[in-house]
Amino acid sequence: MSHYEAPIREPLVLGDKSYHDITEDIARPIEGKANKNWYIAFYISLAAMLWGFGCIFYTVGTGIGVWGLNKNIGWAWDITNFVWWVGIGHAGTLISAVLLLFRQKWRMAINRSAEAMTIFAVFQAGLFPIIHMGRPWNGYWVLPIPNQFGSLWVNFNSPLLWDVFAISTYLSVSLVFWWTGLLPDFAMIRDRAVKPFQKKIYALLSFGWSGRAKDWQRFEEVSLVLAGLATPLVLSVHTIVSMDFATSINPGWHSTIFPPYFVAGAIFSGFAMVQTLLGVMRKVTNLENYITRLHIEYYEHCNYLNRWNCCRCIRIRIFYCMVYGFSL
Amino acid sequence: MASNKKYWQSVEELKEGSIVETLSKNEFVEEIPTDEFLGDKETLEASSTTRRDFLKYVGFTTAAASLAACEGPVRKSIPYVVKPDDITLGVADWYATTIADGYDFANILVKTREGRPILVMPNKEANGTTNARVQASVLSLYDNQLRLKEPQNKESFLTWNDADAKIAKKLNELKDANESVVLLTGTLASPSTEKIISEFTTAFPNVKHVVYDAVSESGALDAFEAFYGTRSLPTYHFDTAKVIVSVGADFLGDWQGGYDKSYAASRKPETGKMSRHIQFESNMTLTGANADKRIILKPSEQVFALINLYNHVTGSNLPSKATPVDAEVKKAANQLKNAGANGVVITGLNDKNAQIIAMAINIALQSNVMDATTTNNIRQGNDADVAQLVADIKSGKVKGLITHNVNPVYSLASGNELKEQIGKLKLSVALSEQFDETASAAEFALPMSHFLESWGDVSLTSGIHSLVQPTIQPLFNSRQLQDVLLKWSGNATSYYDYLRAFCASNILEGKSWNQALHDGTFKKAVSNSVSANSLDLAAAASTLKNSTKTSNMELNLFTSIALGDGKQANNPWLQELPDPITRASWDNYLTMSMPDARELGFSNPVQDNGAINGQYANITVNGVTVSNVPVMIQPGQAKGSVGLALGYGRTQNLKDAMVVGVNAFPLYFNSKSIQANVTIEKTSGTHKFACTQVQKTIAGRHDILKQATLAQVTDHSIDPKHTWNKPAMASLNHKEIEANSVDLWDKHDRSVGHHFNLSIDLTSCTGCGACVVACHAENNVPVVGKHEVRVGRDMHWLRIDRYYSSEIETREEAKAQGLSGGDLYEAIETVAENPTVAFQPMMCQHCNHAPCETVCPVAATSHGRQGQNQMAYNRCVGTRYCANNCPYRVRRFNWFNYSNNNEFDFNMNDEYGKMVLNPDVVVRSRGVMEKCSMCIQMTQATILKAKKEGRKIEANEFSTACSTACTTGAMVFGDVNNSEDSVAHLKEDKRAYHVLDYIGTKPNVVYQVKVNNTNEA
Repeated sequence: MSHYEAPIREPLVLGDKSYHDITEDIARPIEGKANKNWYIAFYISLAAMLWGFGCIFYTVGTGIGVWGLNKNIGWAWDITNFVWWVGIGHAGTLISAVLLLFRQKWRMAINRSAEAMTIFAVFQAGLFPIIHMGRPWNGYWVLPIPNQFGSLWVNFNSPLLWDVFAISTYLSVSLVFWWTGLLPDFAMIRDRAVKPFQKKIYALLSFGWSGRAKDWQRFEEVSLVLAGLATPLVLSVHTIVSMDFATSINPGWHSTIFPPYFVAGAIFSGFAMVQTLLGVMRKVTNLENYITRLHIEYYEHCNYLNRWNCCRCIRIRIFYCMVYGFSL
Repeated sequence: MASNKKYWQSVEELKEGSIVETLSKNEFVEEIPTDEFLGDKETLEASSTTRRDFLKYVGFTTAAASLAACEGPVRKSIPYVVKPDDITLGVADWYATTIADGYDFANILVKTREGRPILVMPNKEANGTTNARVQASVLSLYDNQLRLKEPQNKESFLTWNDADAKIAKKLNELKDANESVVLLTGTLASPSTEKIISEFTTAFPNVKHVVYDAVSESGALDAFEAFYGTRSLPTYHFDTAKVIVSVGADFLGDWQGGYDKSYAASRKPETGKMSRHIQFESNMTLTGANADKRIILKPSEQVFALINLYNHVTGSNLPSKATPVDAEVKKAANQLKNAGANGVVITGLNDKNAQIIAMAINIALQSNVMDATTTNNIRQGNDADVAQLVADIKSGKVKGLITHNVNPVYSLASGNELKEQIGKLKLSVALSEQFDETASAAEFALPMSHFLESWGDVSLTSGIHSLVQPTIQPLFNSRQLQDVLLKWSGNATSYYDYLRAFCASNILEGKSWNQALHDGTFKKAVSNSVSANSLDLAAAASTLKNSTKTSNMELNLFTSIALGDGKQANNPWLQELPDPITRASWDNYLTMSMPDARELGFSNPVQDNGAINGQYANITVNGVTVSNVPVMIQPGQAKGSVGLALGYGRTQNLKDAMVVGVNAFPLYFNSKSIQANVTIEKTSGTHKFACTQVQKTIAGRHDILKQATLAQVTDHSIDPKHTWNKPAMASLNHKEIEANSVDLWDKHDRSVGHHFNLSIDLTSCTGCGACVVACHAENNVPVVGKHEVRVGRDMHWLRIDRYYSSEIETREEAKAQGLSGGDLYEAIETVAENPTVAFQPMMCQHCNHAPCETVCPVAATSHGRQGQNQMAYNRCVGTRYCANNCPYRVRRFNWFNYSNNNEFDFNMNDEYGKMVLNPDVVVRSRGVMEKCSMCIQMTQATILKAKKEGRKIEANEFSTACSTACTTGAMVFGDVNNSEDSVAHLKEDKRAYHVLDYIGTKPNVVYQVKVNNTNEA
């Protein structure tokens, strides 16, 4: 073990690994051939994606009427999915930013995967508001870009527009955070790459990382600044998403409890998703020594807190319903 | 949605002969000399293909490929070579004419654009009224599916000359053999046509004219004849009535043509003069729903209630039986006696003796309301003659039958039998607009012109002569009855000349034909006063008593508001019009009371998508069974009775989507709407209703609909704001103030220019649905079909909500009665067996603080300077957020493309049907939101017209389609910034309120509290 850890703590990495061992183990899924398990997971995902594309094609080609919506229920699974995916995306920021600020070293094992999940979850989330539109080909009209439609501009009063800003901000910050964290790893793969083309690609992706102490110092600083920027986003994004509902005048939607309710629910489900995916991933990529049961235990501690928060929100809501009657 | 799915990539492919089709079959119209440049070296050297040619080919193929891929629609539009003088492109022409289709009669105005009639409105100057069917009749003109297009002899087409020759030959043969021929028409009410028919029967003495109404008023005609000697109907001046007692007469529906206008005129609470309306009935009718007091009574008991009413009013003792509601009958009699000459009794029982009793009460009261001098000519059918005809055809006495726009094969109880016998006749001719059941059974089917393509005259009531004028050239190779008969009689004059000569000599009294045509009507004084014969009422009553069969289950057939007698069953606007009471469209069904349904095991479970289901029943009367009738549980239906609408279940040549419901005419024995000895048997299967309003109470939200009593409204000592018209209150600085007076936002200055408001008087609104169809026609609102309506995707911009209210309406009331927990909710949700009903037209409220406007991300819906909440279809991306945030639920989304889409094969998918579209209103594409625009195209046209004429806009000059169509005057539209407009005053009326005012939306639609006359004195 080339790294000092307090003897009273359980080790974060099992198997008495050297840095080289770690590098070998981590790089193996990328450098080697994918194993059978990976292919099974890949084909399941591919099938799901093709199914999804088929559905999108059918929806856009025929009309939103292929869904079960009607004059009273204007939104259903589209916006539910949107809210769900945004919620899922919360775990990445929380793990990378908040846990970084709290100096939780065990986050190292999972933060990269969680951030990656965040990025893809936010992509997914962004997909739904677009395909839920009656005329998705005009979806770019919700962006405040200079146009030639006369003096037409977006409506800044609309919570749906706030969503546009919230999601795009969240996506860009998450992306930068993810990438920053990836720089040393890209560099590592670059250094190990034997084929010139691969080397070139990874050299591009690693932005010239050299592994000097100065690089690491800047890395730490940038991570800290980004964590500081991203932490408020954990709260703001889903708060804004909840305003789609909370600021409307529909009975049952028009409720001030929604922002904390949404945020708590989002963190809860995001954590749960990270755990679900990691459970599969550590087996598929043979990373049990790096994502240990201890990590999962720590992780669960956080989740207990979330669960308590979330349940409290639900309890509050039930209480409201009891007090104010069925109109809520 | 229709089946027969056809996959296609662009709309162009659906058209025949389009460039895309040509290109898809043969991409290169010219032979491309590929040999020349793909051959061997020598040929290549000899080739004439230069580099430039090669580029040409590349260019052509690229262009062809992109042409084949692009969606640019090709529309043929042909300009006028010589523009007709009276047509200005883009400016509508209005013509006064008259609808007289045998069931619906009205003086109307027809709007034409570039020679196409596109809208029907009441001719208010001629006292015209329109119901939903009259409004929709313009679409039936363009019915490419059902209308007869060419003369037909069975399957083969004929020319008119051939048809005339063949029929004349047969007619002459029958004449020579002196074999009986019957000319069967509906009620024509046309003096000139009657003359032509008499000339025809003179030329062919073997021809007898029989008048047949599919839905008969023969009893009333016979009763009137017994009293006054002429076979017609009296008119009723409900506007002068103080007490109206109706025993089963749906006079706001179709009873004797309907009387909603004069009824509404008698119900003006602000004048303190409001009639009291008591309705005895078994079905929940539109009339019963509007009554001040509705008393449920089985059909057979209505007979005895009527006789008892006579006995109580006159103090005589005609033979009768006791009914469960005799106390109410007595009360009604007392109110009638107090009202004296301003009281009136009517009955919908199609029985001579019952009608005699009802008229006798009016005669005893010396009622001014019933007017025997001015006769109503719009029902003339004679049940006895029709029954005789059917018997004669069966026995072979009648050898020839000529029908005109009647469909006895469908609408007679013995229709199926008749169909076979028509085939055996020596001559059977159907002169028919539609290729219906009768026309397909007849040997000759000759196309008749629609009334919008015809000339004619109609006398709806004595003394008033209305003219019919064509508004378009006949679309198909059709003629009118009069021309046909003139020709067959050997008269070479055209009907137009005949009509002019007839009017000049008989009607116009020397006045101008053009003026009469312009006005639509010509009035003549009626001087003959009539006096009633005295009849043996005891005999009438005892015959009535003895002929009335009572049974455990009775059937009351009725005509629905949408389809009436079923003549326009292929009209998608009417099929999609929800029934005002059940709010179900595209269907007829057995209406059954809750106790009966419980006993027989019927229910209407609500599905998770909000739609309701039902079970099927077989209903048997006199050995005739109508199978698989869905059952709808109807609050207010008399126990021991079921109702079933006529007019549905037509199949012949209808579009698949329009073949809905069951035909109830086989149960219409002897043209009696009431049938006893009914057995109902539950069968298997689940029926899917397309019902737009789930049957629930208003569950405490009593500020949507406000009701008050006449006593409250006329009592000036009480402040409505604290009693029956409480405004929403808000707290400002710990003080209760009117919610309307506080505002989160800065105020706009709305005092400049126009500011449109619509006032809807819930007292006058009878729920007839004419406005809904008018809105359809004016605004190109698409029809979406039964399935889509069922799943809550109807596109009506204007709907008429129906609210039932029961004894316990609010939580507070329930609590006061000591109910709590589950019982409380059950009590609220259980609709009382005889609920009171209120109608509320609901459309975009054009909120000044519109919740929809703030949430649209692209600002596609914004507020107009004139108060309208505007919808920019082009800008809409279809997030539907506006619809989610609309507290009135009036926004409608285009879930699919509803035009040019075979999945929605209604008028917008048909070259003829599209002719009814209003060119001033865009047809919306899929993916955009739409809603009521307050007919902005009409208000703008009014403004432009005044501007062009260089004048100010007159008081009450603005109108919308719904306010124009509203015959009761419930809807008043106008500019509140013009103090002379009625709406400016209505907005400030003490009855005025805004729906859901506590939300602070500040709507531009204002409702007037519904008033009931509960005065029992």
